[in-house]
Amino acid sequence: MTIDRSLVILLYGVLAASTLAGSLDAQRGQAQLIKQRAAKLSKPFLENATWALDYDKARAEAKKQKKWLLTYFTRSYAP
Amino acid sequence: MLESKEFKGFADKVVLLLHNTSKVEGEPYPNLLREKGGNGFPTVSFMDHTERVLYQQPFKKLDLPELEKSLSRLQSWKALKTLDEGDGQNAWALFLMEMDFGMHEFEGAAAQMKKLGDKITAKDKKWLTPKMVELEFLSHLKTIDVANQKTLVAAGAKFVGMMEKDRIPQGDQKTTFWQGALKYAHSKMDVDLFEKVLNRGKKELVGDFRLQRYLKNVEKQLEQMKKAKESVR
Repeated sequence: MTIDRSLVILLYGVLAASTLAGSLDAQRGQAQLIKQRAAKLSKPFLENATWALDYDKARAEAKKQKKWLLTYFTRSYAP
Repeated sequence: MLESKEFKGFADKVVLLLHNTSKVEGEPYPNLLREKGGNGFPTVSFMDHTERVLYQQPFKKLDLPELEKSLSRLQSWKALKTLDEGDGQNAWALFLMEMDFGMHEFEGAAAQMKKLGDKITAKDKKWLTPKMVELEFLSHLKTIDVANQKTLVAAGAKFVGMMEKDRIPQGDQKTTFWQGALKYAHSKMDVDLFEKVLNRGKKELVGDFRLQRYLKNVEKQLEQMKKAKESVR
């Protein structure tokens, strides 16, 4: 049985295009998530008080100040 | 609320941490909320620097009086703890307070109760029992991997054990209790146990209209099991 060479090239082409499209979608998705994160982290409430954004540093600060941590869990990828 | 002058005043009493789940690749501690026992946004947790969650509360909307109240209760707990370290006279009161905050997991709580002995009032015992049931259920729930049915069956065996002792959870995830118990009975092809679990589950879930279709399907499953058993005879 012989396989038409042009058919093989076409199949490879379709496969490569779909992989590329998937990768571009993922990139676009990440870019959107980064944008949403930036929007969240520029909210005015963060200016009203001192908020730590780094978990390790916050714990170190709590130890130093002998205070409890108040962690506000929120998300930026959805409303 | 977070932009108010009142919140700024409150903020001085604690170290504030904003944990934002962004789903951006490579972000540190992406699952911190889940790791700390939370499952919805927004959630607020009071924690100490050793990462111990002292109190956790999911909010629809953040509420400053609630935060103030929680902080004040935690301060009372700390004062009682200091007092108890001296003579141990307040051990039960301290434990009950910690249970109210949700500070203990099942095994730790059970060990603590054993250590404290029987110096507990009937009223406190009545209050504590359903909390222990929920903690026991949660301890088994944590062993379930949704992608692995075997883990549900294994947890189901534990749920059947709890049911036999009349320890029935009433929390948000109670449906999994019945699903697991039924799954376990089905895996053993134990028709009698399956029927027993189903009947008890029907009684417990009677007011939950969303589950009626599910229960109907389980009834069909029971009939199939009975027929299969008959055909073997």
